[in-house]
Amino acid sequence: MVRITRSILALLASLGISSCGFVKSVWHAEPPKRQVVVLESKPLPPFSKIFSEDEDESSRAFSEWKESILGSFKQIEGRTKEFLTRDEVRTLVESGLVKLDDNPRTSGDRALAVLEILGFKDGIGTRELNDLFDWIGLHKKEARAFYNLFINETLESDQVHATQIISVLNLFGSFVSLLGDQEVSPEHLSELILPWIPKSYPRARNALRSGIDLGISFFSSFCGDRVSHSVWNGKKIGGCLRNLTKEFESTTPAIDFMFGNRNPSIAPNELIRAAGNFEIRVKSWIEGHHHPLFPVSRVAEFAKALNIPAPYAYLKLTEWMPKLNSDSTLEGLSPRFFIELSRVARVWIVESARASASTLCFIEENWKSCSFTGDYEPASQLFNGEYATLIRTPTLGFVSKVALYHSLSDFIFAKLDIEKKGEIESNIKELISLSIRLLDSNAFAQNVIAGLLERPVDPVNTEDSLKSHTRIGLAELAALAADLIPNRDQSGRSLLRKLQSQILGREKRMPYSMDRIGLTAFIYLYDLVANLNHDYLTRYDLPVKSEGTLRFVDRKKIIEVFPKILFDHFPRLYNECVSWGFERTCGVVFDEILPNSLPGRRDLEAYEMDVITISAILIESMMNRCDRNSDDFLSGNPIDGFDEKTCMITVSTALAKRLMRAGFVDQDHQTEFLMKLTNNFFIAKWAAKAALARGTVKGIAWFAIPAANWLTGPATLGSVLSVAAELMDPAKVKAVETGQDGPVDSYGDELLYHNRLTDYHLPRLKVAPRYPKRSKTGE
Amino acid sequence: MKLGSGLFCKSIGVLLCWGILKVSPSRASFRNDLGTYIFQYASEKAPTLYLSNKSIFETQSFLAKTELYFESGPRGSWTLDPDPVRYHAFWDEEKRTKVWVGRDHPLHLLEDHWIEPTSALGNIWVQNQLDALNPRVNGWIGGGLVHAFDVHWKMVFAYSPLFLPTFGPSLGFSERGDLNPARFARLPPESVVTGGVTLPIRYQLRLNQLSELLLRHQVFLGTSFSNESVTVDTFAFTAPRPNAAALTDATLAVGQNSVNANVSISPQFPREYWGGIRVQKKDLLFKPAFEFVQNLEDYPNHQVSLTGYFKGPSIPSGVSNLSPRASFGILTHFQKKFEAPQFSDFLLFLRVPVELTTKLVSRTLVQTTLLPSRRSLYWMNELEYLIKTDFSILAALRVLAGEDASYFGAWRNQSSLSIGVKKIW
Repeated sequence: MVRITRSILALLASLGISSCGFVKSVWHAEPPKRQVVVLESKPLPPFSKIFSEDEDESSRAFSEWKESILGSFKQIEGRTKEFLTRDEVRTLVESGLVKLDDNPRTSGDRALAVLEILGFKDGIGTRELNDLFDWIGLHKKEARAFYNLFINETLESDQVHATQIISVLNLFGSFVSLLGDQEVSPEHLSELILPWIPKSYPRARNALRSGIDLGISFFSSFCGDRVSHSVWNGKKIGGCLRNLTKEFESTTPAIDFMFGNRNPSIAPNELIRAAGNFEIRVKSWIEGHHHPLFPVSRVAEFAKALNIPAPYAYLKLTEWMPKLNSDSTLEGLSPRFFIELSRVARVWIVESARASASTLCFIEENWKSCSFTGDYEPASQLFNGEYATLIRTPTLGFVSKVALYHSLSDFIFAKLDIEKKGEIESNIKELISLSIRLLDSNAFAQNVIAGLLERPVDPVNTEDSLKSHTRIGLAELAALAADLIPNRDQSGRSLLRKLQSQILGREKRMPYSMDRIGLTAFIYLYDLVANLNHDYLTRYDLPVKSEGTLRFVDRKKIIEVFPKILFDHFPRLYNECVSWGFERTCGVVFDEILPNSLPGRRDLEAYEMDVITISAILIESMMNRCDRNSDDFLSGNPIDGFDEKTCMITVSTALAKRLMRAGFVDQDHQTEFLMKLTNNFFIAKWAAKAALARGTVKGIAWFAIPAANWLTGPATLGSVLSVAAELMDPAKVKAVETGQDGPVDSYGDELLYHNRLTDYHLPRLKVAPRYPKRSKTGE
Repeated sequence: MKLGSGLFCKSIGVLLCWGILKVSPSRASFRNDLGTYIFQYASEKAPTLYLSNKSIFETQSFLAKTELYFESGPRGSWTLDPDPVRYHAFWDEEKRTKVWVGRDHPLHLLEDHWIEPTSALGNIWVQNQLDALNPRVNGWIGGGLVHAFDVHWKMVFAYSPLFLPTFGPSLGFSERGDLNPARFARLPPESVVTGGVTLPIRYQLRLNQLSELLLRHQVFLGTSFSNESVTVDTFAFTAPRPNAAALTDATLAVGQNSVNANVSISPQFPREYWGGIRVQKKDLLFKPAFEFVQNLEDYPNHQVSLTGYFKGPSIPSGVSNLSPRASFGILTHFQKKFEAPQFSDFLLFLRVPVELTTKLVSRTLVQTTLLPSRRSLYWMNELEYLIKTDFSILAALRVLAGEDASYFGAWRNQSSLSIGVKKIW
């Protein structure tokens, strides 16, 4: 027994010892973590499905969202059943259950702001949610338009339909009406919206307050006495917008056309009727109520708050407002101006529709790229087949654009041609300023959008541009080009007389007269130049360096790519230069035309490349106007006082004179004397004609003899440029001819020598393809 | 709110007093064990004090046992559990029909029947979980009869108009819904995650009318065959499920400064119908007892147990009063899958008292659940040394271990060491 006892004790002892380790290991065990319940609700379809074009899918998604939200809300209890006060909403949102931002505090602010904007001032309950869903259900169609416009698709103007705009305005009107009849001060409205602008958008946040002021002023001016003028009254603004959409519903074809999204099923007559109706509606909208002036300073404040570089081109443009609209002042734009603009729109649409009516494909979807076969005089006058390949195809899109410029020039003429002479006389600088400001105001609008979206703002310094344009004589060139571009289908004598009178003018800055087609050409030219400038920078990968509001391009790079520019956009000019020696002709001429870099710099401002475009257009236009039989030769006729060579001499001396007076080229008294001599003495003119034909001024004295002169052949564009090069910088020409280093006035000039341009920078194709010759559109 | 046993104790107390008054003190016996212990839990720095009292009062026709324990400290609790408390009498002169009123398990009225919590029937019967590590099978409050057809065959019938749910360790809730649980309370989920946000859960207990909860019929009918070698009991009964099925309703309670998941619990005690059989071969080694209990409405819900018995080893020969019987066995549910861990998750158990000397007894209890992912262990070893026949000192070690979602794992940081004294009157 004792043995058994010992055995049991031994067993227990060994068990005890071995269990010590186990006990030790479990003694300090942590309690198990308490269970966490994970609630996963049934996944909902994407919210965007509510805006689906498929009505069944849309209704299903809407019902599921409604049931889910209302069902969830029933599971939420505040102090009162099925209702949450504002404080409770904040607590709920800040807990993260409803996430409106990563920051809980901002999330709460947003939620309360939304409640107030929706008119749920005390809080939200099942009834309010039901109302909200009823509202969404009621406005599903408009919401779909909004979604398609701003969220689903890239917002491009030619994708915008008038019906969409009307739907979105309706939706916005209905939305702001939710606020009810309460009036909200700009300060408070700013407090409500601010939480919704992420902190990553500091410019938009900073500009919010002035943006609201701008909005209130806009609605006040646009809606007139339909709304309050100093506070935000959602119900009234909503009512105004709904009235607006109702009023303009019948004008959708005209609005679509303005957005470049014409409905092809709309017949031209119907489009014309809609355009007329549009003008009538605008007039009745403005005249039926009292509309205060729109204070333009609001725009300045808004732009400043958005940190858009000053000066604001748009505001300088408003200096013209009193001239263009008698009801406007320097400080305020009258809404009646919109009546004038609606007239411009009507003229544009009517002229386009009439001109395009006979072109069959006007009723097709891609009508813009369709070849124009009708007759529209301004388009015929402006069209050319030789340069600027971007626009040299006569299409309905081209016609529509010309019609827009023509209607604009019609409007400006009506305002500025007070004496009804058919010509306006003004300082070129003013006209240039107006054009540049008009174009820059578009850049300003784009900058506003870029600023709101925190994207880089393109520095647009209109004032500097204007100064520089004047400095390099761009204005003079543009004015001359605008005079030369339109084919007025006259004998050419009046044009030459006009140019001669300008040359012989005594004033330093001559008054400039311009007819309607000239003004149209002028706007057309500036639009074209802006488009081509953008094209050069992107197509040839020119590196751009920004300094404040200015953009710079290396001058040498410009010299390197300008042969390609001529090849792509001005093929006749390019081919002529190649046949006469590229460096010897185009090389020297365009190097001289291109401004020198400022001391200590090697670059130019990007817009300064425009001088290449305008000069090339000018040269091509001179050829177009003087080469009457379009055979690419300028012939002489001893019995015709206005033969093609005479034309070229007159035009080119006019050009030189203007350039000298503008300070664009050095005012050389000897050259000036020669030009006067050439224009006044027939012997000198004979010598000049011979020089044009031979492409050099060397030994021209012999050719003052009539017989010798008659022996010379016709001149070409290449020979003209060759002479121009000699006159502009004989030293460079000599260096090119002798194969030596010549003067280097600015960075990049060295490319002219030793055939560097020809060997390294000319396109591989020897001959630039030209567009088939056309003297007039539609032929 | 505390799920306590106040009402229950009062009603049993009245019955107890009535029983004491009905019998003559000269024919009665009374025994009382009073113990006091100091417990040191692994999870706590300070020790806690326990008081334990067991009383047995018995006459020829009356039997009352009460158990009381009390634990000090913030997680302490107390209970007074009278079971059985019954008065019985014979209906006829032949003493073939015995009727009884009070509180007892119907099968306890048959001789040599003791329903243990580790058996199939005991597991689904009302268990007293107040002392969570020492569950007990308690009876209904009502009455019944036992009729002997002959020396082998008997019939048992019991009826109770009063339903008492299982009482577990209290799970207190504050006014704000925060938990204030007792030591061995099973804790409900702490938080809910929805939409990526974790919210604390506040609980709210919703009880129906107490009368609706308590006044529910319970009926038991059984037969028993017993001879020297075998006992076969068959039975069927209906009663509300003693362990509540919680019907929950959750809302988000949004206050001024906080958002909580507000879970209101409405305990449900659905009626169940059970049938079963208990067979014990008394002439085999370990006197194995097999039990099978089947839910008559829920086919996969059945429980099976196999228990063996033997006399606890006694090293000093001839002394047996300190070594009651030992048992071992298995308890499981084969098909039913329960969400919460169960005592019957493939439970293996061993209970062995060993009389080491005439004064020293060791008691070992090992219970382990072995269902995959629900493995857990409870191991208790107690030594009792008798200083006098009515006074002893005790020392015990209780070790708990297991996985998070296992029966004993929920208390795995509640291992303890204890020492105490016990006085018997």
